[in-house]
Amino acid sequence: MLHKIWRYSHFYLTVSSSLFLFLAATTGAILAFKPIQEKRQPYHIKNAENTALSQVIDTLKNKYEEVLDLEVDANYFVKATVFGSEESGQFYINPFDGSKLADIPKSNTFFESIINFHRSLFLKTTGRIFVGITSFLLFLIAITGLLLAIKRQGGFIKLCSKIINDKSIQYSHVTLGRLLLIPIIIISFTGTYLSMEKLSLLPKNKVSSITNTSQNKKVIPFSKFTIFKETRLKDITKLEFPFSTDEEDYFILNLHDKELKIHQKTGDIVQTTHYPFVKILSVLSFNLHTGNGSILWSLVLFISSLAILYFMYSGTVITIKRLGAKTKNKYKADEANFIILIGSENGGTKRLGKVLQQALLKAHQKVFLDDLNNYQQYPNAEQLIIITSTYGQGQPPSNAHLFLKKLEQIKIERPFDCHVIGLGSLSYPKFCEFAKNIHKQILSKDKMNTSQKSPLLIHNQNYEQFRNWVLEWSTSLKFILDIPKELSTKKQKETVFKITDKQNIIDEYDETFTLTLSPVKHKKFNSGDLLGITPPKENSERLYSIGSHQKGNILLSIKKHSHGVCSNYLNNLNIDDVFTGNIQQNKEFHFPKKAKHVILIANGTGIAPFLGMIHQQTKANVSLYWGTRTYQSENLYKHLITEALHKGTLNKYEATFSKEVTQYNYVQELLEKDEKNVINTLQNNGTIMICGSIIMRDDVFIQLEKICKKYDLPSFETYKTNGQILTDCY
Amino acid sequence: MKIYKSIFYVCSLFLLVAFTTVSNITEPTKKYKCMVQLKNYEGEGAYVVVSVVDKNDQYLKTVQILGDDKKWYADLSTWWSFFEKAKQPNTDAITGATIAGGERSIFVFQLNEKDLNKGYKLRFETAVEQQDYHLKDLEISLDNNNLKDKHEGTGYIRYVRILPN
Repeated sequence: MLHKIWRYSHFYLTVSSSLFLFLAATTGAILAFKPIQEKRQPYHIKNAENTALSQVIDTLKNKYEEVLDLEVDANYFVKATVFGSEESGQFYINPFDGSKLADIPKSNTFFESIINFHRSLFLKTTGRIFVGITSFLLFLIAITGLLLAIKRQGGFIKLCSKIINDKSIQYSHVTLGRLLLIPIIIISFTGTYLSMEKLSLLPKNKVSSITNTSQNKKVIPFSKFTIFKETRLKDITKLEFPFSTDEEDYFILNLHDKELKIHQKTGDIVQTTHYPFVKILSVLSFNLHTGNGSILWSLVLFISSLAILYFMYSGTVITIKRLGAKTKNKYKADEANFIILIGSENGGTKRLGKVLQQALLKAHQKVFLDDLNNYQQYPNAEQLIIITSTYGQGQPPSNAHLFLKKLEQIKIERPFDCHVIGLGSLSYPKFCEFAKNIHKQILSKDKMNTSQKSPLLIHNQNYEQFRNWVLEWSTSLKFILDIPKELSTKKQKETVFKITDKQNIIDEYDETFTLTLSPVKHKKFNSGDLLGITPPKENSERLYSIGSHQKGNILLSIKKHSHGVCSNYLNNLNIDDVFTGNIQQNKEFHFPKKAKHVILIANGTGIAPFLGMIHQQTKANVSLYWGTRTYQSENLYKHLITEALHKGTLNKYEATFSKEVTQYNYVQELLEKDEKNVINTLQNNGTIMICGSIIMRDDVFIQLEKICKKYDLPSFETYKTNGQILTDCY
Repeated sequence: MKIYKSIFYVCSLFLLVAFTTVSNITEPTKKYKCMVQLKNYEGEGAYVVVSVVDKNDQYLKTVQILGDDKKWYADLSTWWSFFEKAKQPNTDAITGATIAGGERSIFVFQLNEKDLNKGYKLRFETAVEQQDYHLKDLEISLDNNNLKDKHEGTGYIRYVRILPN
């Protein structure tokens, strides 16, 4: 429970304050424009704030019969209350000549009522209390959020390190939160402080004043007073002129940190009152909370207000996901034969467990699903399946941190089989680390049998991979599971395609063919997206990487396997035939928009997405390296490549043939030959995209690592985590 | 030259007429400088209204309003019932900001000379949001000798000083 305390408090604090927080953030965003609007008023005379006070007093005294006071605000607008033959009253003045600039504008009723709502919800004192509490809660929310972020990033120092972008809403929640943490803490703290001030909750300080008895008897004019000569307009907030010529009536000068009483005859400072800290903090809080006097800070406040609204939205989405992952069991732990244990931070992993649970229930099996932390004795267990994600730097997710310890301690009476499935993202350096740890420990247990040499590791919640494993596993247990084809409740949209062109080439090793497809209805897609095709009478779909051809057509490149169901199905289609498939966006393998250098590496039919990309309009320098077996196979693509070279959208093309002049010429050797291009690309934030077989990918990785080492570049891992290396391999 | 002369005559005539009309409309007034010093109380700024009342405590005229948010005027209920009906024009010129506890405010107000020495009074009434309303925080009888010096208040006002201008 304790390890979740920050998460629970973060959640409950927000829930309890959400309504008021929403109102305050919305009105706050509007109010951010008030100081901006004020600052843009033309009442500021350039450099006027640097004028000496003595000079201004002199000017005003000469120009008007009577001067009551002088005020300078945060925008350095100067207000004076005067009486004279021409002008009387309070208005903005030009401090250089004392002339009237403008009347004090009436307060903007729109902003006034929004301010009123923002601080008291039109409920007077009651509303003020609510808003004050909400503000304080926001402060606590920000602090708990900070603690959660520290935990997530793996320590206080790592807080500032890169947050790994797993394209989830948590990512934006955390990234934006880290960015706006300080403004939000400031907003909430100052808001709380201002509310406390209005509710008279601040400590009362005794104001101490220092009184000087004046020794000086010499009468001098105001403009000769040392204090007035040394003080500039920007140092003061207000100057009150003596009420009468009586010696007991003083000048009262308010500076930013103290109040002075100045003898009107001698110019001596009669009394100095330093403002108590509480008051200075009040002024500071007011300026920071409202953005008074600064357009830049007002904009920060505006963005922060919007961000609070976004946090409420993203927080709700995260919560719904998490709550949706709660479990209900039909069978008890001690009667179930199948135990599924889940390690999940946000419930995403739990969905897979639930799918498996439902499938087993449908097959009339006794299943029990639980969190890894609740591991206990399972007297009737035959199969234990552990599905877990990994948190941060290889730590267990929040509902699994006790598991390894419990596994050590709890005695197993009857042996059972055990399988570990790890979910993670390859963009983390410690991919599925926790699953690997569990697997290691299970291998050392005699009463837990596992047929796996290593755990099944799944990248980015690839459901297909999970489903295939489940089918395999259930077949090995001699029963058939009905597990849904797709995880999402959203049905994927099937698109109808017509084949407009087909080319095939048979060399002594393979038969390869390309299909040009045109969607019957208009459909948007990009090179690198995936086309899912389920052959008739089959359940599982095959994914093909597609190239987007210039006319909005799809280019598929397929190797025919003699027993391949899908490749044969496609090969048997002819021009003008129609079939269905679904296009799945694959943002992780799109052509980079910003990179200046792009290297495309493929082998065999992996060239398909690149055939589209090399025709894309781009400012980048694009090179294509391709490995294939025979000269003949090149003929399929030759015309597309020459066309791209001709247009200039492709700058360099190198191919290598492993079965021609000499044996075993592979694509990684092309890279070795072209090291300079590789270094250039890596160093200039360029992108390397790899498509084709996994064996080829691993060889290319080894080659790239060598190059990095040889030229003292940062480790290849850094580029991988940077997102400079994109892969789509099978 | 004749033309200039005649223009000069026309102008002087016009000015003469103009001045006499103006002086016909405005009654002779007198300006007073006034300082209101509040006591050290906690809470929001005080609303202070200065009015001329007659012998029977009937309001005649509002002289100064410190506090520009009309929403709170109703808190000064006795004055408000007069002010709402009176529809005194152009109160902007006699309206200022509220004064916080311990602070003071200086302003200049005008009185009709015919109101002086008739037993009328200058009434200072005060109210603070969520706190008290002092109808007669301070009353000063309007006679020439009295309209100077210092007068102690009974509510939020510590004292008021008046000076003929």
